[in-house]
Amino acid sequence: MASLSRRYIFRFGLWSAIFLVAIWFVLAGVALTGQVAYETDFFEPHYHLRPLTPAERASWVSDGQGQYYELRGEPVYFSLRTLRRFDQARLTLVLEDLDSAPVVEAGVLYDQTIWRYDMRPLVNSDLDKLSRLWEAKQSGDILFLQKERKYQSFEDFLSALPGRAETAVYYYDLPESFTPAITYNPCQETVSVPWPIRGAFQIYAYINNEDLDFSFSGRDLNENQDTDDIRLIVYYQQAVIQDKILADAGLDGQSGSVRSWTEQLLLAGLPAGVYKIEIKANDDIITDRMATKQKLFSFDRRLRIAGAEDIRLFTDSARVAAVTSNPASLGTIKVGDNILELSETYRQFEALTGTATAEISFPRGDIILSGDGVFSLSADQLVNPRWRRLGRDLDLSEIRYIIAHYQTPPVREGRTRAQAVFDLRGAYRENGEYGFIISLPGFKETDRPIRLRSLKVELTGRDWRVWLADLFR
Amino acid sequence: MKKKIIFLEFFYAATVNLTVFYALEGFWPGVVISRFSLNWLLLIWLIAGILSMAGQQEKL
Repeated sequence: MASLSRRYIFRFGLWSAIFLVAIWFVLAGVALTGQVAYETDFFEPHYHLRPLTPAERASWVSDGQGQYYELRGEPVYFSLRTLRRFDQARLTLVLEDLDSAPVVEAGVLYDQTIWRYDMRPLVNSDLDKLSRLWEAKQSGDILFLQKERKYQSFEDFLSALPGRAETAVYYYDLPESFTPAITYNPCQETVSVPWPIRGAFQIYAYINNEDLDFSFSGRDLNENQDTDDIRLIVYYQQAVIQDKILADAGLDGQSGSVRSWTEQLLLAGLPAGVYKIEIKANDDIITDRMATKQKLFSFDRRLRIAGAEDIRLFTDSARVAAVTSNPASLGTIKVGDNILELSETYRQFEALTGTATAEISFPRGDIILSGDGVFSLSADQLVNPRWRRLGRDLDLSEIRYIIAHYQTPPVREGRTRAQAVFDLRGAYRENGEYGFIISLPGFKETDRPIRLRSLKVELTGRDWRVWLADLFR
Repeated sequence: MKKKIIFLEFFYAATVNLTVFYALEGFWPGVVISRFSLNWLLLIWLIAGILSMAGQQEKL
């Protein structure tokens, strides 16, 4: 009898320990304090910080100098796997050998349909050099540079903004504005874009004493198995004024059955200024026809022109990049006075435009064009309300002021400890994973690789006090 | 307690442990394996089972 009770006591002890451990796992997963941190020096696999990909650009090395990732190309990606959602992530990278990568940026995936990342700067050696040469004021994480002191403070600068030609921004949003170069009168005729567009795109349109009037029609190819929602969003001064999900353009899934879609955008009584229209769609969606009554409109930054011939457009970008997945589209693209030779599929080629406004022409479509400016049907139609952005192609001789959302990272014993903070509340999360990107603008495969020594993510989110308050609300 | 009873109780505990942790994983993927590999638990369960069977064999 005594031995039986000892046995049951022993069993009770063992099983209680099991359930206590199980409860501990659940509480650790919930993260009651709302804070959790994951760090890896790549010595062994980490459940939460997935390996960097693709392997041809990021290879794990273990040698006499320890374990690290060697970055030989860009961009590279990694996933952060979490057990719950968080509000904010602070990313810390320890990097070495940055001579061939003066700029390092990182981002978190926000929109999986159009692969938009919310990017943040980590390292900018060019800005660090300018901070030593120009008048510099650091206020928290805002860096304000003046070639010669004119403003006593950053606040003085904001209250009396100088001309756009002499100002550059770096991850800082100044109010967008645009003034037509000549006296503007609304157009009475409809202008049609002469080529079809594949996937997502954004338009800047200027209106003054007229309706915002666009019409779109096209096809849903239904070639891939994703759902084919089309979302039309209109922005004014960076605020959303209309957000519409269009009626299902076609059958969901990989049916292969092509269905057509059509949509009219007509907004009256709007104040004069620049409006941004965003068509958010995946590459199953073709916009065959886009027509507008607006005289001044341009496509922002990226445009995938579908099947067409003898394409001609204009841009204010300093550099244009092109890539195609169609062998029939390979060939020569004229960019201003320069030539961009598109000689391989699935590889991006670039060319400088060399002028403030450049003409682009190429014989066949199915090419993705991208640049740091806008694209339009004629040089007179260019509408770009954005401020000039600090980058490798910006001519600094005209720039007198730079505002940056940036802090110079500390360097110790040759290692740079760079940090960036991301808002995760709108970030895309699938199967418990957030997607991150590390970008090295201008870095080429032939450059000397840089080393990533460690990666740390500190997450902050709702804690037990917020949950308790919600429970009793 | 006799050794065979201890081995048997460890086997029962390991079985319960496996069941609870796999159920937790099924309900909330990653809650256990993010901190602890279930392969080790499976190994412990196998060893406990072999030892408890060996203890039963001795009796026979």
